[in-house]
Amino acid sequence: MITSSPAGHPDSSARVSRLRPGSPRGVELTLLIGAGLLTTAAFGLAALATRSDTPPNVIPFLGLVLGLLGTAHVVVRRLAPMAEPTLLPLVAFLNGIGYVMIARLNENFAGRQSVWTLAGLVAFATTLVAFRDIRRLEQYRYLLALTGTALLLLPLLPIIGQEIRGARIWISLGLFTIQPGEFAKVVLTMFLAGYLVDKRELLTISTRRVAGLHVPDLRHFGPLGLAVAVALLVMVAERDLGSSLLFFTLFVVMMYLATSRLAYVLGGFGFFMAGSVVAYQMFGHVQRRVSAWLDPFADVNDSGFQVAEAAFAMADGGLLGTGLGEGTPDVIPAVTTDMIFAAIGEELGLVGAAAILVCFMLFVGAGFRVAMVASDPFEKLVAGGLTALLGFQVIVIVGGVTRLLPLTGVTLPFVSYGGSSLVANYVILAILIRISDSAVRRQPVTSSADPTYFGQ
Amino acid sequence: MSDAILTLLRLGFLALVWFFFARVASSVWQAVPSVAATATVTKDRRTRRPKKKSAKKPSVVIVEPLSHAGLVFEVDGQLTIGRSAACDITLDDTFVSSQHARVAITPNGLLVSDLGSTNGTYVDRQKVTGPVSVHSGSRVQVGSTVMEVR
Repeated sequence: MITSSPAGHPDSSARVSRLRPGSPRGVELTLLIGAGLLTTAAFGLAALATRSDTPPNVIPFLGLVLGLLGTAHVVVRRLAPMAEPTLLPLVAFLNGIGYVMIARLNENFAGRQSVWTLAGLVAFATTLVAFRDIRRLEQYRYLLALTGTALLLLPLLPIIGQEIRGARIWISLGLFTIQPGEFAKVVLTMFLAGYLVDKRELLTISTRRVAGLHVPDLRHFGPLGLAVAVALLVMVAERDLGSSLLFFTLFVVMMYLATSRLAYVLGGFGFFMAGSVVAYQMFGHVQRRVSAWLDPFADVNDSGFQVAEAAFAMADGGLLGTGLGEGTPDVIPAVTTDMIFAAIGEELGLVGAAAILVCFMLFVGAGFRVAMVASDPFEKLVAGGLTALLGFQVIVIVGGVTRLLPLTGVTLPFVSYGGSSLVANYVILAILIRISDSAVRRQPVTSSADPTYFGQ
Repeated sequence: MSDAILTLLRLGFLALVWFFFARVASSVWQAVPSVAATATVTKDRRTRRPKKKSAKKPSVVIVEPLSHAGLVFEVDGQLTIGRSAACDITLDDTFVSSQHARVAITPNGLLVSDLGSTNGTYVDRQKVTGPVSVHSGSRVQVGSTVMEVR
């Protein structure tokens, strides 16, 4: 790959307009206020519908939301002034709508979710403070691989590891439990990016061909394949099939991003099919999930109950929804976590549920724009990988809820109840914002007479 | 609160949600003028190009990889190619040596020479041993990058 640009390359003069101080932040502030007002409007509507006699405490809520968003905005203005302006408002909207839905479904969870949101914003600010330059992490790629694997293994430890509803993915830290796997995914994405930047050429150019496809040299592919296989085995041992599916997809996507070799996608698809068949044969709960997907009404009172109730909820919602606080989504099992999209579909209708999907679409679009603007290959791969991870997570869970795919228990990013997922996703947001800021800053302001090297 | 008002508020909320997305999309569109500006700059360059040609400064254009095809590097006296950041064209390619090849304007015309690279330099698919004369249309390959002389 070429990392230098010739003299007076058109890009350099175009950047100048974007370097006007404050302009992206102004856009961000306007959009953030919009997101805050929408969250408050949703909160007020839900309150009006559930207890129409008491005046809802909307004003303090608005103050709190705008205070939090304002703080996040000041943090970005101080630490990453040139960052992409739409990422933070989109997340604010998703988190806000999710919070309102959770508060409307379970007041007990709402308190905890607000604490986790605060923790997420602290993690967001900490990431921006701690990592002024994401490229520095590249040299610690093997340490990242170890950290990621260690995080994955934590729930298997005897005392702190906890098994809830068949999946051993939690660790208990006294007052609360966390899912280290959510953080492992972020760390392992950075490992993959670091490894692939180093070995990309060697994995792209292959010496052997099998059945018309290029086969990578085992010497270079081996360590990577081993790391991914270990991570996948641990996830399968913990019965965290959703995460293993996501992580495998992430691996294939990143191989493709780094090498542009279709062979990896085809090979990955083959492995995925074989793995699915094996998982189906080996695990009873996979068979139950598949049968509940194909025909939830065959066993509607037991294995098909959740998927069937989600379908009923969304059917009740229709085009415009029953209105916030006026539906009955609380009958769906796990409605605050895996099934929150069905609750949104019931109370906000197709129009509201589509809005959530559009929001994710805009987020993924912004994430890939960040990857395109980034000049450093490591940052490109990290931004592309993390965006793909989040996007595929949305596809997996929304597909599961709407019966496009078998249901696998992963959260709807930023919307679902769940502290670890929320905090980990805020770290992803911070990394994307950091990369977009660095990318714009490193562009030369004036077109220099000499060719410039952007890589370092 | 009557049901009719609540319904109106509900629908108003949904409308506002989509208005919010329209604002997000339009702010993305605001950032796109940088692309539009790029396009006009490219146009300017295109109209200016004949002038450059009259000055007869030779240049090297990237042909492969396609992701960087069309990048033009002027040969101003000489142009070094390699993996090192000190080179005029820096190639992030495992098969490229840090100081790989040089394109230079000499009294004998434009010459390409290999700077003792590990994997060699190719001009029109022939491996370069000593300085090789190149002309407009010659193709120089270094690692996986192919450049055309203009």
